[in-house]
Amino acid sequence: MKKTLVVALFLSAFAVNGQNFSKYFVVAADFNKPIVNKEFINNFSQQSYKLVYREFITDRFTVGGELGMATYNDYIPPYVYVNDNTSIYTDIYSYVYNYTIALSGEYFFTTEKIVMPYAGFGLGAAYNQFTMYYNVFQQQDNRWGAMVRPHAGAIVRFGKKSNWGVMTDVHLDYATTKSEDTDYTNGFANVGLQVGLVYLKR
Amino acid sequence: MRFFALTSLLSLALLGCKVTPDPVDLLQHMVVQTTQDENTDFTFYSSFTLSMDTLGLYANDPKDTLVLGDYAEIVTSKIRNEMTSAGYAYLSKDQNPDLGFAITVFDNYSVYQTISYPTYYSGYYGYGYGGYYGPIVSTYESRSTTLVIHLLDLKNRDAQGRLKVIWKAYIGDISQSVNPDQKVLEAIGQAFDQSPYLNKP
Repeated sequence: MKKTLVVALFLSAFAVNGQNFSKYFVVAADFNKPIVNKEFINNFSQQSYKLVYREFITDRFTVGGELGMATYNDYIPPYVYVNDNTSIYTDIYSYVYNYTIALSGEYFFTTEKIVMPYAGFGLGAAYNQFTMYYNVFQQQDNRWGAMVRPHAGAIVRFGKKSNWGVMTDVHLDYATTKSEDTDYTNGFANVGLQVGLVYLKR
Repeated sequence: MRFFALTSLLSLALLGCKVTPDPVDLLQHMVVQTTQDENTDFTFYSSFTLSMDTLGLYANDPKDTLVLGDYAEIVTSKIRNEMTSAGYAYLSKDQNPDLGFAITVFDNYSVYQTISYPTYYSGYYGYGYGGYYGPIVSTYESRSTTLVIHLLDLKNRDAQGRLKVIWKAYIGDISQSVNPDQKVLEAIGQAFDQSPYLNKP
């Protein structure tokens, strides 16, 4: 009996005293860079945002959804494109408008401390508008595809008792959205860093 | 529920903020497309003619069929200079030239059209070359103004008396681009630069 009590006391001393968060919301800016077909676009994204919602299903696991939007663009100087017996001279303003919706789950390594690191995986759909603007002309290839997003990051709360914090997250996105017209023959992929404001609800 | 309402509103707001190129940057360079007839040997020709100071016109107003004045003059002069630089002799129509130009402005602003360009034309369009028809126009949304240059083989009509288009150049937009009167001359020069097969040896 005495031995059992000692063991119980020992375990309770190291037991996790959870914060009992039930859910959180994030509004984030997202800085993305494509990692495929860099001849078309090799710049960081502009006006990239993400809205995130998660619910804790245990002390450590969350599931939820997110909406994302990113605009990639670049400039291709004037060039003569030759195809059989036709030549076209133009400069091109290349754009990819990227919209994503995903279901995602994360595992938090701790939820008790101010810094709450995690790793997760998202699965969803991407809608890409591969667009070329040249002079008054425009050519657009709109594609839906499946998307996977492994990611990792941390929530840093403003204080031990605070429900507010910032989130940083690095992610790799791959979507099956292929565009022959713009030479995305193997889909679209990017890496990104998102930084956002978090509200954690208990 | 409130979260989804908020995210929906935010999403709609974000979708409304679509980034597009600055028009001033976008309209700096005209687009120049050239196409050669793959079965034509351009060394076979040595002279050309051109209706100087006059361009054909497709526009909203069916009464407008020609472009005259300074603009037509600078365009036709530039084309004539490019051809003579390429080694062709300029002749008048009655001197039996090998080649002839049909030059048309398509002012499709607010008109819903597209244009297809068959290789052969079997009618008369008004440039003094019997056997040349204008392009075929069908419905499509287009708000551009394009200069279309057709080079016709005047020596070799087919069995139906039709003239063959052996080189085409489409240049646009010739009205909305920055400094269009200067840019159209650069674009005509580019059309010839990217068609080295036109140069006489």
